[in-house]
Amino acid sequence: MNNLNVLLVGNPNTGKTAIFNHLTGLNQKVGNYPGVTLDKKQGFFTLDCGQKITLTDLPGTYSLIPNASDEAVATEYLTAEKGHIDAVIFVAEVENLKRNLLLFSQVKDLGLPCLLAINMADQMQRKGIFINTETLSKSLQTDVILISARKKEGFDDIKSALKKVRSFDRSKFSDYYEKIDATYFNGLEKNGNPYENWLNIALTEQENKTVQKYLQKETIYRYQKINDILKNSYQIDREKARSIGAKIDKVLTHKFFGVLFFLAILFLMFQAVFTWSATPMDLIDEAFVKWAGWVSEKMPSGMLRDLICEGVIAGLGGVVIFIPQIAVLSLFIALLEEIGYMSRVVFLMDRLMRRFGMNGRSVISLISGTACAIPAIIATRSMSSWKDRLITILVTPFTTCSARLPVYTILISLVIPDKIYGGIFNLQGLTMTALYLLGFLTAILAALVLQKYLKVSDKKFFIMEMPDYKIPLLKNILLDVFQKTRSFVTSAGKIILALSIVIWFLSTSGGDDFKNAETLVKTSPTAQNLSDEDLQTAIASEKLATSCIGKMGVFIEPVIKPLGYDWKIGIALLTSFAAREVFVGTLATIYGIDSEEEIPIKERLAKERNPETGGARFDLACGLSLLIFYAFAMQCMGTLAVVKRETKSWKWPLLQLFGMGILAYIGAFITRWIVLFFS
Amino acid sequence: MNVTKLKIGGVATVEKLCFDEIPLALMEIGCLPGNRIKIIQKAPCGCPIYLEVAGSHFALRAEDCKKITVKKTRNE
Repeated sequence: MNNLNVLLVGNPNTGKTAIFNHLTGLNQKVGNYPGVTLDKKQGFFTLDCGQKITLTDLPGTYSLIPNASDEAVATEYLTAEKGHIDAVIFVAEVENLKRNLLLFSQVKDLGLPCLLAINMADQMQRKGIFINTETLSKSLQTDVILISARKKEGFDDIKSALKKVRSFDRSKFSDYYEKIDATYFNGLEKNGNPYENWLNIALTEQENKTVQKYLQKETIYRYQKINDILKNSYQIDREKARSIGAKIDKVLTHKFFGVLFFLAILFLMFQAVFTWSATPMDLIDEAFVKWAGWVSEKMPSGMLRDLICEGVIAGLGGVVIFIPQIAVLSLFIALLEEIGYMSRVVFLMDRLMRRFGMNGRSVISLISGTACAIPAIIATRSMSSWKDRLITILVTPFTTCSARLPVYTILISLVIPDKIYGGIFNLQGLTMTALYLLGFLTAILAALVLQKYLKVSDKKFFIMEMPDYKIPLLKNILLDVFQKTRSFVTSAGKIILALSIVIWFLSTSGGDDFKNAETLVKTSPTAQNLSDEDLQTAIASEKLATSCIGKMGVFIEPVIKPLGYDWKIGIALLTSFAAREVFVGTLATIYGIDSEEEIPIKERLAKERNPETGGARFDLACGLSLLIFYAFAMQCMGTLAVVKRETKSWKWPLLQLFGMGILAYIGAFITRWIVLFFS
Repeated sequence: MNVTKLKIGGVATVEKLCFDEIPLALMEIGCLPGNRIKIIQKAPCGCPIYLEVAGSHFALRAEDCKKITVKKTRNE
């Protein structure tokens, strides 16, 4: 028996993805605002008769005439794959059935065999909704099934309906073409499906006035027919349907209290990221130091032991330690999405964001960019305005993503005193807050500049569904947190593992002067006055300076000297262009090579001296200048690749790489000189 | 009058649309002559407007709302 190819199609916010998860058991995200189901997702399940099903979840759309690029996916897939589709499970929802049926009527007109699943049936009584499935089924010539993804009801009915997929009705929904303009539509291509032919014309000639007029008429006729059908089979008490949601919205979307609430949520979120994660982070830190100590005890000393203890374990520790913070951040974002609050944020912030050349949806990207820029950039697909979308993509990497946290945390703890001002304000915490604000502020200012200079023609139209509030499903949220955290650890882990091996290799090999380093130091006249310990340190640093990586660092040192960095920091900067969080691991590897004992990275860095000044290597000027550099620079290969994919051009990622790089350099330079001037 | 003139809580019936300017997406969510519109909330500075149209809940910008002519039915 062949696999049956079944599609899930429907409007956004109908719980399509929850149904997909339940049917296939495949772990995936359920979103409450447009833009979560972005790519086609597939899963598999088997009916009890043994029939295997391949289920494809298409991104939600309101119509086959797409308004944004995430919506276009559904149209493209339906028309291109039409011949291979065995059935469509069309997902509607009890409260918005009328609007859902518009898309249903279009899918039906493509001649696809459909099954209508009306979700959230458990809410019908509370919302004052009545549906006569029998009458509805007859007038739509389609099987109608009431389901509840939340209560896990109705799935058996879907499965048994899929058994008789071959007998699904393929008749068209309507034949209004005659009513719009009989001569025009009769003149169209006769071969194939008439609606598909018309759809092709409508999509390629969207600017054509006649086409626009016909599309409008078509929509009116479709609604007329839907209204006629629903008259006999559907009732809703509009006041009851949103009674709870309306009360919440009175406050949460209020122009004053709503904004206040949003700011409070943001404050709570960032507060939680730091306070909730402090203890687990300390535990992880200790565990990794112990692990490295244990390994160095058990293994014979030598190159391999150094690689594992100083490169791999230290580098991985620098990533794993941020799991608590990323988990808390993802938890908040997932919770807000799941409840339906994100669309309220879009509503409240649209006006403000427009001033900066973006729109309300950009706020979602900027907030989720604090976890990671990659999903934040992908989420821009739900924007219908290309210019707004491009600007949002370009400025999102300025927001303080979780990869910057390792760098910020270690630099702040090195150069900012751990003092409390005014009883509650911890100076280190304030610096971190300031860096977050700097990220948002730079993003917004960059948008303002881009808005002026970007020459992109564009249609400006904004529409945002405000779905009813939902009680979040714990499973969905935890799954999302787990997936985001796992992808951070695995992707960062891979890069760090690879880079620490490369760096370690490069720092333990070199030319003749590297091989002669030991004898050179020992025979030098100053060596006689050194203690044994100092002699070892001198040998180790001479070795590092003459190694391959040392030569690379020394080569770029003139460029970064004005910023107050030496060649060792230069190496860390270079490797950070793969991913920012590599900074800590690289420094650990470089500095670990010339130290014998196992100590936390922070203490190791604090011990470093600047030979020119005799003071600490990481003093206030150097530390702040590095913080500014990392705040601005585009150091993430993953993000660059995604920007290339989303903008279909190298122009924009390169603009980010160089534009943000130049800004970082100038910013770091100015910061250093300001600090030096005042100290 | 157009939708922007309605106060929060105001209910009206869609009378006419500027068909030449109105985005198709607006009609697709059910914003069609004869359907009920209720203003639920207005964002700071009166834009966007959060409204219920034909039972669907959407936020639209003021400039798009201006293209929708309505007839007031009652105040709530």
